[in-house]
This record gives sequence, C-alpha cells and structure tokens, in this order.
Amino acid sequence: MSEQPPEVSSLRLAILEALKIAAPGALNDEARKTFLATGSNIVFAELDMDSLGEMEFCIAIELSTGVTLLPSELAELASTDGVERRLREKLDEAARSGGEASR
Amino acid sequence: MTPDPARGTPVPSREANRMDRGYRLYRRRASRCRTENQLNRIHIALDNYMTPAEVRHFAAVLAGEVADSPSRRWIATLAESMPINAVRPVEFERRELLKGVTHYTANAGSPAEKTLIIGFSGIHHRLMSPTAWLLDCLNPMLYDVIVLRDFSRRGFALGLPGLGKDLLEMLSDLAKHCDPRAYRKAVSLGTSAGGVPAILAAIALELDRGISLCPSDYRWYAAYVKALGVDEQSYAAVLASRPHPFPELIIVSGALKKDDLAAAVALHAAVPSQLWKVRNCAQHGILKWHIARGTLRAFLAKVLDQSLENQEARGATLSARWVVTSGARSLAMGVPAATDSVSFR
Repeated sequence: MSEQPPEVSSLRLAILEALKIAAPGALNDEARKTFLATGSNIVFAELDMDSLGEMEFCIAIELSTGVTLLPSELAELASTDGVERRLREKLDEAARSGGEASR
Repeated sequence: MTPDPARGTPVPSREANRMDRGYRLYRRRASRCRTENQLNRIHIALDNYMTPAEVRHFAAVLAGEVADSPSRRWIATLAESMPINAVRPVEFERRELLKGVTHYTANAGSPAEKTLIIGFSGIHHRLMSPTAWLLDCLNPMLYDVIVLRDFSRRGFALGLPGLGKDLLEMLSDLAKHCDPRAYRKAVSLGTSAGGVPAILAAIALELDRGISLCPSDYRWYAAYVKALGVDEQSYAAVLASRPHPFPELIIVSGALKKDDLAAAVALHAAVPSQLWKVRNCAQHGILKWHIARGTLRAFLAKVLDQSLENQEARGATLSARWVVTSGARSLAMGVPAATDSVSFR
C-alpha cells in the first residue's frame, strides 16, 4: 500500500513564501521541496534571519493570510510548526467570533 | 530655509518643501495602518529610500511625539545609528529616474570630479542597510549613488521595467540615463542577490571597480537565469571576457559565514578578483555588522579604495599591495584589521 503524501496546506505554502523573502539564502530548492512534501519543521534559530527578516516574514504572512503575527512572537514560536499552529489558532478564533484574524 | 530677498523672510527651499510633503504623506499612510506589520512595512520602505537629510527632517518633526510612539522610536533608532549624522554644506537629494532606479545626488559638483556608485540591491531592495547609512558616509560633493531595486526579486535577471529585458540590456539602457563615463570614477556595488549582477556590470560597463558583498552563488544564479528563459551563456560570456583595462573586482564574505564564503569562493574562482574574508564575521549582513562596530566608514573606504571625504589626486588610488598588507593593520587609514585574509586570482 503506497502512502499518500500529506496535503500541503495553504498555511505552509504561505510560511514558505514568507521564508523565501525573509531568509532567501537559508533554504535551497531541496529544502523547500522537503518542507512541503514531508511536513518537516524548520527551526528559526537555524536560519540567518535578522530583525529585518523577522519583520519581512510577519509582513508577508499578514499579506497572504490576513493574520497578524508580530516579530516579537517569533522567538516564542521558534519554528515553522509553531507559526503554523499559531496561525491556525488565530484563524479558528476569528472563525468562531466572526471577526478578523488579526486580533 | 533660504531668505526671500523680496520680503526679507525665510522661504522653504525646494528640497525642504519636498521633505515636508514626504512627511505629510507618511503621516497619512501611517494613520491608515491598523497593525504593527503595516506600519513596519512603511518604515522599511522609508529606510530603503531616505537620504540622511530626510532622516534628520523626520527625526526633528517626530521628536515632538510621545516617547513611546512607534514612529518616533523608529526614526530615533535610524537617526542614532547613522555613522555621522551631521548636517553637510550640501546634501544628497533623491530622484526617481525610473521605477526601481533611484539617483542620489547633490545639486552641486561636477560628475567629472565625482565617483559614481551603481548599487545593486538585494532581495530587500536595499544595499544591506538603510540607504541613509551608506549615504551618510559619503561626501555628496564627491559621490553620486544610483540604487537599483528589482521589485520582482529576480536578481535583475529580467532587467527592470523600462530598462531592458535582461541584466545586460538593463545595463546598456542604464548608461543612457546616467553615463558612468562622465564620472571621474565609476564603481558597482552589489549586495547579496545584487552581488553577481554588480560583478557582471563592472565588466560589461568597463567600470573602474566592482564590489560584491556576500553575493549569491554564481552557479545558482546562472541556473536561475536559465530557468527564467534568459540566455545564461551571454552572462557567462561577460564573466569570461577580459576587457582592457579590466575592473578591479572585490568579493567580500564573512569568514565564518560558511554558505556565503562558499558562494564567494566560487565566484572568485570564475573571475580575476580579490576575495576578502572578514574576520570574526558570521553574518550575511556585512554592512550592518560593520555599523554595529563603528567601522562602516573605514570598510567602505577600503572597498572603494579611496577617501569618502576628500578628493585624491587622479591616479593616486591605493595599490593592491596596500590591500594585502592592510590585512594586518593600517594606521594611515585607521582601518581596523577586520579583513583577515585576502587572496588574488
């Protein structure tokens, strides 16, 4: 029985696109494919993301998902899994309240 | 402000008027921001474009805001980190030649007495630092700066809107807007994704010097160009060409930044150049690394191989031999021994 590859969520695509802008040299094509194909986790400490990169990452996430994630949150979230989890929480919360995801 | 002889009262200069308009536009845009990210986006864009005079203007106006105002904190941080942060007799002014082509020049001095720096920005549309940091280090009487920004984030592989369909066409068209040959000296300066284009530009335009700070890997760039449908062989041909005189090419990388160093070594192997490894530097943002140490001016003087403030006699530029020996120490220029090792090819 062959295993189906996990579905690539739009959030993971958004995170990957944001990483391309925030830390362009940090992920090669192979790493990007692996990230999408296997659901692997990328730890921010392993990327060369400076404060500008963190801001650019959050701006890109907000533009693509409508969810506000602040640069000050990234250290706590620590990785792409952490970011994806937080985005889902905010989107779920927004769906429940019928409000905006950014709050 | 300049006095109005007719009325005897000060009237704002054209540049002051322009800065006032810029500030009012900023306030309008900032007032519409609903999130911190939206405001950060505006601040990053302003960091990328502002001249030192504009930074001081904004800092002076925003100093009246409450201390924890995001706008005041942003501009205060930017102003305080400027290498000189002092008013000059003449200042850089900003002119948009085309979308993605910004010309910084003072309304004084002749190109024949100036050095033109053609900057190829990286993916963040800046030369690794707020533009005002770089300009603040340069005497506007002696330098003009063009900053090229590829908003498509393709490393200039497809040129710029209104300026060619690929990098080589873009360079050819750029010379029509600002002729490097009119200048005393012309230099390309590329950072990160702009690093390889800067080297290609120095050769193709037969500039005096090409400086590449933490460039992308040329092999990756060539593959990327090819994937975009551009003939990468024409780029390879430029890299393989040896016009006479050949520009001095400088490739710089942090000595401890392994991926940057590997890319710099690969580019160094492909073209006659000097490879400078900055000791103890594990950062990609090499200009930011220098600003944090108070050595940005010394570093720029070293890579430009000339004074940032004073006109040197034509032909009296520092020799390559000096660069080698300066790896240990240079008291004459006050250059710190941050460049650990230099290799030639």
